Amino acid sequence: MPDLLTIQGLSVRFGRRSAVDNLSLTIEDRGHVIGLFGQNGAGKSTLIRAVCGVINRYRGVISHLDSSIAYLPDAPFLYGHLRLDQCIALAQQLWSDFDADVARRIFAELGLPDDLRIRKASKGMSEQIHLGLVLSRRCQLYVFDEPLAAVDPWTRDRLVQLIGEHRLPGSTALISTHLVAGLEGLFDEAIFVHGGQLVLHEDVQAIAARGGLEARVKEVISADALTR
Amino acid sequence: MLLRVELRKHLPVFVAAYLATTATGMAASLAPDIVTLDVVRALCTLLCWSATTVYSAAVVFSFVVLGRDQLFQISTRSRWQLVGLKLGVLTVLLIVQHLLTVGLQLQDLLEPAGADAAAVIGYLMLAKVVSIAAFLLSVTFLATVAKVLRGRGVSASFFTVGLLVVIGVQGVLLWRLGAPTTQEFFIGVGGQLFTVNLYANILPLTLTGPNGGFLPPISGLSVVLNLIAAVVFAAGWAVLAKVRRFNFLPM
Repeated sequence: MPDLLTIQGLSVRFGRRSAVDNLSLTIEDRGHVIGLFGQNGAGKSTLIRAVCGVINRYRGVISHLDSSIAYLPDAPFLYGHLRLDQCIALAQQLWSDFDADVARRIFAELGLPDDLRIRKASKGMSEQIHLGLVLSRRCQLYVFDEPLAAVDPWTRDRLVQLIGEHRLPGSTALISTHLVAGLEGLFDEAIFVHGGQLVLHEDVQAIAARGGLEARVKEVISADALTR
Repeated sequence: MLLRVELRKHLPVFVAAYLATTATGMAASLAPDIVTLDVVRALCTLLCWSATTVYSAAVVFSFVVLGRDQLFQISTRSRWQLVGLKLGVLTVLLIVQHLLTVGLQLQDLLEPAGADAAAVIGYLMLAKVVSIAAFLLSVTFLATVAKVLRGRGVSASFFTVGLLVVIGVQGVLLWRLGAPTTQEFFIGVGGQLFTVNLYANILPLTLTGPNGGFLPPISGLSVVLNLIAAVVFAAGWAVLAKVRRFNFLPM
């Protein structure tokens, strides 16, 4: 199985603060959905931003199998005045791997009209539009930074379903979240970051055998706290 | 679509400037005997140019240094290519503003120019276009250097002071090289034929009472200095972007 993403000795500092500290990680090209867990300030977003090329000043090596990564940041990025069809046209020009037909199909399934203005969309709709656009990119790795953090449980389930159904078949999705409960079914692997370091990378099946994701996460945090 | 969207971002500010320039310019042309209207037009032109100049610098600073406009930041296109797109759009908008400003004063300028009318128009356009290019490229270079610094306040201070220094140095160079014996420079442009509108970067300067007619050598020097500044800042920006890795985090 080829490695989709290899990180060796990654360290990111912001002034005196170390956000990621000598982190090494390998993600294989298995078409899995991988949960990236960690408390607030654990280094999840910094790790994601380094992988996606937003942070370029770091120590260590990051290598990808595929040069383009579909990245959904943790904040909305579309302009309020745009209509949905204009968003698609714009995405086509901004992302070389964007498939407009996939985007139209996703939005039709979601029942979102072409003439919907972004500023008129509800928070849940806006999340779906952002996610739909990123999912319409055709690449091997999708990275989502906290897509489930601020939405109600129904929207959350819809977003999870979208990620499962519409990403490029066989591709891998890395989803950062600090939510654990109720999401076990979504993930195939779990990565846990704590204090800027990788403290866990396991298959969810193995974790389930040890009492479930939430219990394992708490166990890892406690063990890490004892060793510090 | 990309161009349209970029243009749309800046239209509110520039359309407001265009409308104010047009309204005051037309009022002054329709009633040339009312001096107050002429003063209002001059003040409005000054304010509009100050506003759009500061706005343009802020657009470049907020994209390059503050990491704003996240949709562009996460594009698969090079971020520097997108900076180029922003610069292109701002250049066009500033040129349109110049066309409006000059267009409304054309009669005042051309009548006394006589046979030199083509040269006058040519100089007014060339000098401004080159000054806009020098300004936007110096702003981009300074923003790229400011990006290296840590902290929004430090970067913003460096950027502002740096821009003032660049404009100041260009102004002094223009004066010392082109008219070392002249002591009378004014900030701003004049609407009369026998004042020479010069640009130290984007800053308009007026040299009064030139001896050599409308287009003395110093006007050529103003264009050449801005052209050199544009090339130097573009090269500096290209080198920095090539040799240094930058974070594109929202600040």
